[in-house]
Amino acid sequence: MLEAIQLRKEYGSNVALKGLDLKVGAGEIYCMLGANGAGKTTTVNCFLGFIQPTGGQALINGIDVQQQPLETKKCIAYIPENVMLYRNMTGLENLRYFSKLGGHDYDEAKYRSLLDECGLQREAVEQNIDGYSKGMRQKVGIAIALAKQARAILLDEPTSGLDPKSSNEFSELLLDLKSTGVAILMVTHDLFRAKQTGTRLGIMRRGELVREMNSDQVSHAEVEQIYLEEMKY
Amino acid sequence: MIRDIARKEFICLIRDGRFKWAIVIMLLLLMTSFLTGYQRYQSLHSIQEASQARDNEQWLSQDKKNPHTAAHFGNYAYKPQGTLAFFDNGIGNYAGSVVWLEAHKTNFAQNRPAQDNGAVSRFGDLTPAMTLQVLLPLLIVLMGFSAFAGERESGTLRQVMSLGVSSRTLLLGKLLGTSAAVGLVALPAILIGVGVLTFGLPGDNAQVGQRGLLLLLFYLLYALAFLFLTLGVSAVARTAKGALIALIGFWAMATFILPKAAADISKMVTPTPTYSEFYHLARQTSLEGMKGAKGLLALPQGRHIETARRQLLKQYKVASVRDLPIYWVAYSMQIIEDRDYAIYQKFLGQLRETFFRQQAVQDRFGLLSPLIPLRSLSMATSGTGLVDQERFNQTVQDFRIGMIRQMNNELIENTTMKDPLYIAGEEVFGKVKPYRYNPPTLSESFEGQRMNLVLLAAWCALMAAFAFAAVRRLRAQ
Repeated sequence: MLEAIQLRKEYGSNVALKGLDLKVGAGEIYCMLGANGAGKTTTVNCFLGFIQPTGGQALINGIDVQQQPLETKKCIAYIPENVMLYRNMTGLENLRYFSKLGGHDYDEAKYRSLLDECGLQREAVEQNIDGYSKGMRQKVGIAIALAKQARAILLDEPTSGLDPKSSNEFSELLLDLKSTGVAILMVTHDLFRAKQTGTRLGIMRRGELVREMNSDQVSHAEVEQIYLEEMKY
Repeated sequence: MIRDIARKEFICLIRDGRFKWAIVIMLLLLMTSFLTGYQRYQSLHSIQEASQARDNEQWLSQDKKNPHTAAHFGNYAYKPQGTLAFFDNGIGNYAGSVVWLEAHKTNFAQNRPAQDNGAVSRFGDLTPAMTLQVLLPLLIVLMGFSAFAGERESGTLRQVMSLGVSSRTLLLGKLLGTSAAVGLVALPAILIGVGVLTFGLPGDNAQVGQRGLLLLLFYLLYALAFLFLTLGVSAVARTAKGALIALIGFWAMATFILPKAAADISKMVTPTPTYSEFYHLARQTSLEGMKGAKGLLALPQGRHIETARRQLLKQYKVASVRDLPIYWVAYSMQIIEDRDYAIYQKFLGQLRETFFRQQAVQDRFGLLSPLIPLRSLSMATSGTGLVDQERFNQTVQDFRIGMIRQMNNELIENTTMKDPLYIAGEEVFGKVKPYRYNPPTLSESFEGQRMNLVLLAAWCALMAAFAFAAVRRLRAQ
């Protein structure tokens, strides 16, 4: 479970997060929406321990990220907007390496099946990352997250730049993960995908969570309308 | 996990096209330096052996003559190179390896390759030691500068750090991986070095096995210091380019500018007299007497001889040197030889002290560059440093005075002023045994090296501490 309690981050006079309170429970996909600079990525970075909050707490499974950064990272997987991999290694080698770093080692067949499950073409598995498109890299990134068997996943605009088919496959994967009880926090600009995949939606504006809603209680059009209204301020 | 990181680091490095070029160039340079070092050693060794044998033979087979004239005919003493000189020829290019031994004159060592070569020789020979001292750190820098900074720029560091890998584990993994890649270059060099030492070279060094192991240890510490530095700088630098610029700057400073500056400053702080100044002062002291000395050395040369003459006449209770049972002319010549030997010993001792003080000043620059303590330790271990050279210079002068005394005594004891004719042959010349240089033991070679040992170890420890401190604050972005 992911939880932010009065999470605050200041960069000098600029306040990136103004006491954020947030909970993402097991089997929930929380989609965080908002304009650039709203504090979405800062929230993700706080959960990853990449930045130190000025105040409040970021908890993963009840453990404070700042107190035990390595312990909390063992419970999460992270997929950024651009999954960056080692260009001199193949997709399979990258997956095996990151999986081992995440504390899991499998046989080669399992790695191949994970990549297959994520939709990476079989012929690409043993090609160097140099020749991969962004979508192919994202798929390896998802495979890394799956291999880690994390109970919480942080996604920072993961479908940005993906073609519609890949985005759809990605959404299906997320729904599968959700059904296994994984808590997912996804930062996105894609309102359609958020409504389609998310359990709850939250709109961030200038470091504050200004609106929350259950996705099953609003239509696609309403989500868009609410979002645009919030962005007027 | 450390092993997995090391493996990945190694794979990425060896698959990198730049690394392939770097490793090929480095291997070629190392092979060339081993080959030229081996050839130089072989060539000098065989020339020296042949020359020493020929000169000893010439000494014995010279025409029959007066022994003092034979002392003028003279002989050469050669400094045989230790086996490890093929690896590091130290100050050999500048210090000379052969001394002309003759009556009445104290000569310096000659045969200095630096005198015969052009300005290019100032950059030093392409020895394995020079290649490892200068190019090994460059290779380490080129392989390691992007270890953290490059991954930060490409975004993979963020990915890795999100997995809960500790920065210490990451550092150790990268250290092992980069070391393994550097080892790809160093291993052939080590194997060739061991092979050459075991099978390939004549000549001997005292305790060559131990010396070889010590060389390995010193160069390992040096490489580790640069590895830790490179990884530490890469961890704190904002960009890989910034890390590379900083590291290349340090490399240039540590391997070119500081050693040269240290040598120049040491000469300014403790200047040495010129060749002509030295001889002029020694000659003048011989003629006028040594200030502050006790006994006959304090007297001018003429009065010294006159005093000795009177003592001799008194000893033999005769009125004239013509009545002495020994040959006065040879006796007086030996007085001058012994007097000059004592005077030159004093001046050569002062010169030696100056050289050692210069060395000490240079060694202090080891606080700023790890190359300086390594260079001194490498020369000392290879038997090509100042301690070795000065032992050769001293033992040669001791040998010379013994040789001249032997010849003069022949004349003193076998002739008189009334009957000065004495022609000696091989049986007399053979009484002078050929010069043989006994190199210092390992502990003698390390005389004065304690500070360099401490400095090299301190560089390694400090750089390790810096690297661990740097990764403790490792930023993912």
